[in-house]
Amino acid sequence: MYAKVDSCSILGMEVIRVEVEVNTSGNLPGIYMVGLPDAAVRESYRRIKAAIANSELPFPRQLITVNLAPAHLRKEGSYFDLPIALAMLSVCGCIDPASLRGRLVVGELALNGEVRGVRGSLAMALWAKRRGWKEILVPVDNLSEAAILEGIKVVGVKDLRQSLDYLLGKPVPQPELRWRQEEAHLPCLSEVKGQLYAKRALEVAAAGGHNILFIGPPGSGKSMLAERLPGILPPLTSDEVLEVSSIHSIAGLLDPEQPLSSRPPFRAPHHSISHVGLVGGGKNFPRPGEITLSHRGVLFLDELPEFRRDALEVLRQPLETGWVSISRSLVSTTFPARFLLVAGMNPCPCGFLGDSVRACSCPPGRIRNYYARISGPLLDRIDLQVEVSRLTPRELVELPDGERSEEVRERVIRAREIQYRRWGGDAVTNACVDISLLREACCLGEEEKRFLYLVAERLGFTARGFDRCLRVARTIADLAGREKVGVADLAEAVQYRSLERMWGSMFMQEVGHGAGL
Amino acid sequence: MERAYRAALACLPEMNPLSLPKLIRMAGGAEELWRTLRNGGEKAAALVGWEKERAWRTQCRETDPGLLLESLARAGIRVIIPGEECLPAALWSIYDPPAVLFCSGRETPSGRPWVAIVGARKATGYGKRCAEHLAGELGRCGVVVVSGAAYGIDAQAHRGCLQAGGFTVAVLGCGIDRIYPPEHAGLLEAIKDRGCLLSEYPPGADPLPWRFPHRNRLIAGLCQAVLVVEATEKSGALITAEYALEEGREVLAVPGLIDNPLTRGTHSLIQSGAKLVASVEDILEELPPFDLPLQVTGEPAGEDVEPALFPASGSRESVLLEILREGPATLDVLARLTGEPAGPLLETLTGLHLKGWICQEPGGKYVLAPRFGA
Repeated sequence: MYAKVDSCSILGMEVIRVEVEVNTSGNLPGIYMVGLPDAAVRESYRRIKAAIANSELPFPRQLITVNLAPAHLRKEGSYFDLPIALAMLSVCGCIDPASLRGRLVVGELALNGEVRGVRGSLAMALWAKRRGWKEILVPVDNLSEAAILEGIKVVGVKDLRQSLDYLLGKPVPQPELRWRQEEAHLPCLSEVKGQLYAKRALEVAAAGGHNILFIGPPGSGKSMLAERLPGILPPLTSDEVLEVSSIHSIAGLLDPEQPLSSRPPFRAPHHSISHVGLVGGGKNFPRPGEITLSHRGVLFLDELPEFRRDALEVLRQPLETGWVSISRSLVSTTFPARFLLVAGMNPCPCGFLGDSVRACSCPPGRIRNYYARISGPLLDRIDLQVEVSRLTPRELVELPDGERSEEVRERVIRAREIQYRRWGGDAVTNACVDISLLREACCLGEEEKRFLYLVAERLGFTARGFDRCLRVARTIADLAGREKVGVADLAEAVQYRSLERMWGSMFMQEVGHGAGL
Repeated sequence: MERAYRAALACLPEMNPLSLPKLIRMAGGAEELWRTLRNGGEKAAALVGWEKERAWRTQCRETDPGLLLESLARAGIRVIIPGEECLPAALWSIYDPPAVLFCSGRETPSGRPWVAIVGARKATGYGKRCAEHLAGELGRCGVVVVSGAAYGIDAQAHRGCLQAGGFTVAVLGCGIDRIYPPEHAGLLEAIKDRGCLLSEYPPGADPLPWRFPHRNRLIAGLCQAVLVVEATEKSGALITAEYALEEGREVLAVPGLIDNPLTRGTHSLIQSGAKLVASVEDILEELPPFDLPLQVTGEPAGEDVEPALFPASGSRESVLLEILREGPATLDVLARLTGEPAGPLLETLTGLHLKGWICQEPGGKYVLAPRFGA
């Protein structure tokens, strides 16, 4: 006897179709499971046997061969419990093989026959819809996540018996689904008092997609500022929403009450994270890392110099390309990773360099070593470097509330639209467009060029710092709706290269200045 | 030959310069001490202990003091022994005078007062401004400005003096051929070119932490007056001031804002009797009369940044400069006082930075540039 059920599985960030075949032959009871199953799949036999017995359904007392096709791909996870069980029931004659056709089935079984939730149901439903499937059976726990998609029938099943009933054409009660419509409240920029410099920089970062580094003593509001960045970013487009939600669904991080959210994700991993945790990876089956989870959103790395050096260095390639490719012995896969990096760090190891109340207790050598922990190539990819200072308690009380996030977001959206129009592509921003195109679009005049020479000469900017400045200046001009980049835009952009300017005057200049004497 | 023996003794590995004068006295002269160490045995061990007796005996036998002196001279290093007139005589009468000093650079001018300017390494713009200005004025008057070539105040004092064409002396806590801190390579070169470097440590000696406080006694000993510009309560500059008091030198201090942690040391000095310095005259008053040279040695160093004309009053630039005159300010403060948005302010600040009017300090603070403050 032979039966086949269609199912699917997750490989990296992709959904793959898996055909579950069951064949029975001979009279000696036993089971073979083939098609490169991993441990969780091989163990499913025990779960299925118990679940079928506890549901008081027949189990084939013959030699069973289970095949998971395509046979050359490794299968992992517990997605196939329910399809295998249904195929076995079909072999026993409980289900008409014809009713199994045209439906996708995923789900894990409990020993008592209940169906447990699996990760990635939204991604699977989305994939099924795009491939023209009409129907997908998912665990009832995943129903609210998968059923939000229109154009595909999603059925939630509670246990094995219910799924059998459904396939036999009996009505199956579906829980009433209620999704949260309004977006969760995002922290507002007006809650940050003062910090005009940092807030303006945040606006520029959001508008041009520039990475940003906040340097400031503990308690100066670096995290507060970073958390408010998603609130001033443009809302995700519908395609982006599906992309981001799929990723979060596969990672098991989706909010079932609101599976599709247009707010950009915000991730803030602790600095003890390993490089695998950050970019993704794993022994056999690569899993997405924090940079993929913050795809189309914000990745906040507080205490940047405390991160492990190898973890930071692997960020370089994804920062440039917007994706990361992970190769392991069994699988190699590509994860999307176009995120906006926000980093925070103290101005020195003790944290109080330049503070108006507490004196810094670090010797100059240690401060230099602290900054040396962040490699030049990584720093080069951070366009905006901004110093944040602590406010006095009086300032905290007396300063008026600043602009609200919505107002800033309006300007950001306008600036983004100008960029998308100019670069002729969605999500191409000034920060990531090819530098030669950018130079062209800046249309620098004689006066601007003279200004740049002056900056290079007096402030010791490198060629790279130069290009970064140009990108930022382009964004500032876009925010103001100016066609050409003027001296004013460039001059403001120079102010966002704190490290070059400050350390230029503190350490580097001591060389240059001394040699010039 | 005295010079050669003293130099050779100072070059012995792990020779402590503080105990060298005592050893020479006990042995009855530098040459005697050298002989004793070379012969080794009980007599040498009684002076320096068995461990060093063995190490130094071999070293002494392999070294010819005369040749050593010649090789030092070839490297441009002079050896100064007590009583020589190229340094102020008062140096040799301090509590623990050096047995020998290594020197490179120009000959020191004679008949001039020597003044030390010391202070914090992590100085604020205000401190650097004061140090540079006062050192420049002193240099112009022909005063020899002494400091320690460290970051911050020290470096700024040397620079100010050099830019005014004055003579400056850096007393180092390592061998004079060592470049420490490494960022000061250019500065040290300039000092050697138009002033001189001094050290009691042999060439090649490492910049070890305990050497710097000892070095400070020489800075105090060389000078008639010690000016402290900015210092915390535990600053090395205060050690120098203490040595100066013990040796009967004048101690002067520059006041500052009370909310700046770097003024706590200087203010406590003033409270305990140090003279408050508000202008160069306050320093000159404390010095013995001397002939003001009409032509200072060396030619003033060319300024690479021409002082720009003060911006027209009422312009945004001049408004910002007026605010910064009151003290360092962050962008928040500037925005509050001017009522302007961040973008245009940042743009103006870059302009001022490029013209050399202002510079930036850690903490996002803007300050007037050293040379325009005074």
